[in-house]
Amino acid sequence: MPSDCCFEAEVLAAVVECRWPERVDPELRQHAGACAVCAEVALLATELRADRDRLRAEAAPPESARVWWMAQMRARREAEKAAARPITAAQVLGTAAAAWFAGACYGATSEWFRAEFTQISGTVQTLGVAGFLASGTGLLLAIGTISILVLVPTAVWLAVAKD
Amino acid sequence: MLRDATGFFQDRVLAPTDARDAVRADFAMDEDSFRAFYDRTARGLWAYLARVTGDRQAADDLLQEAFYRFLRAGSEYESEAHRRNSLYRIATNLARDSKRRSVIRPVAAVSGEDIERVAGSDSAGSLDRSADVERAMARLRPNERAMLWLAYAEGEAHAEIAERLGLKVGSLKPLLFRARRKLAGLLGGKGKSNAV
Repeated sequence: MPSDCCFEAEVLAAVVECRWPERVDPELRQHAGACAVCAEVALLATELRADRDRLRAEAAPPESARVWWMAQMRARREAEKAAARPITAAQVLGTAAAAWFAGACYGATSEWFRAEFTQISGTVQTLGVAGFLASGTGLLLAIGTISILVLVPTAVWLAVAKD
Repeated sequence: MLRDATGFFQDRVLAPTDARDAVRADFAMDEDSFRAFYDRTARGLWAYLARVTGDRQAADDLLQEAFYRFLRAGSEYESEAHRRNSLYRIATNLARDSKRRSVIRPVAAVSGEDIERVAGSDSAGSLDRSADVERAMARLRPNERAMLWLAYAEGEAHAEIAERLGLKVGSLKPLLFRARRKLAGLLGGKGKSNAV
């Protein structure tokens, strides 16, 4: 069976426009009787078109005013929910800023922190970065720093994106 | 990421907007235009969803969801056809997603309840034909149902069908041919004498 016929569109149009089979050119009707493609198109289009009409008659969609009102309500609820979400982001930013501020205060005032920092700087100057990293303390410090640099942004992203 | 979070903060916390205004700004259509468009398309879209999903209850739910998402999309449309295509595309995607999530109940033959719903307005012969079509369509894949419905029930052009289903026009033709052969085989010779 061929996949198409040049009269296929004409047959389909006749069915869609409710002209099939009575109000079409007799030659087209005769052709459809002999052409497997056009006969199939006429059969399916007639059946599906009738089914569509039955379903449309059966359909009981809600009133347009109700759908509009419900859409408004839902959009408003979603807008309110979205407006509440940045509070989480703000909380994360606030916590991060507070932690940074506390760390800065501790660093500026703690004798131990300053002594450690001076020691690390001295080691880096003496051994170089590679040598410092090769030492156990340097490696642990580097892993800790990188973990924080990766974990904190990931945690913030998860906190913001979760909602 | 920090910029995004700051943007959220500035937009939503520092400069809060009235939710009602935000909603109005998001809807590209006004109420009158929407209601007119809905009245023109809702029944046809429901019939499409009922056949594509094979489930009238799912069609009820998806109809409202499709119109809501259409409104929220907030797009400007150059023509009625473009607007319609967009709505059908949203509905088609929703039907596909529902199928994937198995929210929709398995396609079944026409139930007694379905028959009661239409019994008041239809003859026995018409019901039989409807049941035949429903059973045959139920044995096709959702994409095949959608293609056949748009082509033969709605009489849409290939370009419109391709746009609504997210397919290329070139690939639609062989798919449609195969689906048509399949449905014709399932419907058998029923109604052939009436059709031709």
